[in-house]
Amino acid sequence: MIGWSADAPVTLTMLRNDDPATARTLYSGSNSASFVSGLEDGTYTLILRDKAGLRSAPLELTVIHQPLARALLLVTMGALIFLAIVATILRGPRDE
Amino acid sequence: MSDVEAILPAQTAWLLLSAFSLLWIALGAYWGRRNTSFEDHALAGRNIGLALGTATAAATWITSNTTMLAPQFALQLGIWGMLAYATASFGLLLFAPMARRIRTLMPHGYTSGDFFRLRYGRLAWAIFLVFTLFYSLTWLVSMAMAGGILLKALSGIPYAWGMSVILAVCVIYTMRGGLAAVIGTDFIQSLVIIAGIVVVGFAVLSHVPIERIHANLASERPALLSVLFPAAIIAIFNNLLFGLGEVFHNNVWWSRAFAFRDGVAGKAFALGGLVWFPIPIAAGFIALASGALNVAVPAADMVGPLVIADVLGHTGAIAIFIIVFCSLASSIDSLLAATSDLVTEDIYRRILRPAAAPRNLKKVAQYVTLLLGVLTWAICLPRIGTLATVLFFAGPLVGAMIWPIVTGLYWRRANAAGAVGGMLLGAGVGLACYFAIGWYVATLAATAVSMVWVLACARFSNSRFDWAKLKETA
Amino acid sequence: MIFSATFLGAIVYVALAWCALAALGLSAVLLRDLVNGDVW
Repeated sequence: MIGWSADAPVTLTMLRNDDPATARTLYSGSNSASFVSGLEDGTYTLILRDKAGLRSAPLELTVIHQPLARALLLVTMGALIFLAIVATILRGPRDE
Repeated sequence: MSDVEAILPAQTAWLLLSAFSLLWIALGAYWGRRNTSFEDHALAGRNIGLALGTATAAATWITSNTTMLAPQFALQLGIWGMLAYATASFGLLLFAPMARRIRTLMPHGYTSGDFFRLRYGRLAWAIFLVFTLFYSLTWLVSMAMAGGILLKALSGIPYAWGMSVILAVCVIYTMRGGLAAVIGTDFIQSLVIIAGIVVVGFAVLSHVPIERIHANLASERPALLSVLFPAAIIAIFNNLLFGLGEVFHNNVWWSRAFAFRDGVAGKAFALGGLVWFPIPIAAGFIALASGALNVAVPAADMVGPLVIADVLGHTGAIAIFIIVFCSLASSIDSLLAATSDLVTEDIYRRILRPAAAPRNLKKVAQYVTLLLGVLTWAICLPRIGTLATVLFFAGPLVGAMIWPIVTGLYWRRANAAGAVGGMLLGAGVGLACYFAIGWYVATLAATAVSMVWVLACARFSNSRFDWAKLKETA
Repeated sequence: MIFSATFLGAIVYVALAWCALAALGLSAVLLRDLVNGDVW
């Protein structure tokens, strides 16, 4: 969630790894926040500009995803427990 | 959420709120006339048919989380986020065979508390009551708070008013009509919600095709399309087990198992689960279209309503308002009914006043409903923001109950030591993990520890439970 | 590796159709129960 305060409509631009070729406008208008998601790993720079061209100080954003290995470990554990529960229910009454 | 302008004028919102409120209350009063005893009030005559049974299973599980959070999850966690959310339906699907088993074992049962008391004894029962009341109350509080917050965000109606009106309406028609009113209104609410989601979904697609949505995501939010997006994958089974724990233990679902007609219980839960499964996807994908539609998203939790308002204008704003109101009401009424019935049966009848006359129990249940409503209202009024997060503590608690319940229903070897230890150790370790590592492992850890303990106790058990002990008559 | 547009389209359209069918199915079963006089 990127938030800011401004007296007039602004434009929010984002660059990836300081490369001007990747610049894109995230939002333009009079809101004071914008929700950003789904970015890949990397460093991003955000800049606010108003109609007159005045720029804010750049905001640096680093995106580091959770380690995949940990995610897969938890998925495996979870899957095993879940399957054990399903098996117990479907096997039904024991020891009758 | 504060910067978003209301998408619906307050007058329209009040009109809709009043109209639906009057409808639910009128129906509650009408259907309440068939209830004479506590059994009628709590279990609607034990004769609910397939249509109402399926609808209530689905509608109760569709909360404002499903309709508002699904788009938010999609925007934060992408396609995996939506698919993972859909697995919450597994709770209903797996409860189907359990519901049949419950009816076989406990033909005169009232609550899930009755099961714990008869199956595992007083200590396990006491622990269960603490866990379930904590979960139910935090659930009730989070729903009521969400109601106030959402009504304010959608229409500007002040939080205290919105929250109070929703809660008051639900309390009134649940008091008057009991489970019959809850189930009857659930049917109407489920149709409204599902129809609304379908209309909105197709409306969005008529404005922007899938290819454009996909292309926009690929360029602006690429991780959302990733097959191996760690943040999305990491919590899949944690949340799935949270869902299983919620459904397996709570009286909301057990009371329905007891209320459904013979032969209906299994089918109703299975169909209810199937009805529920596509909803997070159908409701959630609209958030993915926000970029392609050029809809500004200042707050993740408003993405759903913002997209709908953009695509359908005023009509869309009305639609989302009604959908949200119905999802809130269909869950709050169920929690009120099931929790007051649990308190009336397990605490009032079984502990405080065993000799209570049946007709007085119905009055007690109604008063407890009112009391619960007032208590919830008092907790919600100051709008302590972090209260909603307290619900996450319930994850380890409900996760720890899964194995005691499942083995308790099917294995004669499952015993009280296993249940008590499983619940306490599981909850303890789960809560420790919540704080030490993160919410995304808490339920997983609790269930794992509980499983190991319960299985070990069953393995070394000398006792064989006699199922006849569960056939206690009223 | 990313989910394709075809996959996204498939799950969305299937989900919407499934919901529509569910609503129709629930209404049909209710009508059947009403006709038989055994709604509850």
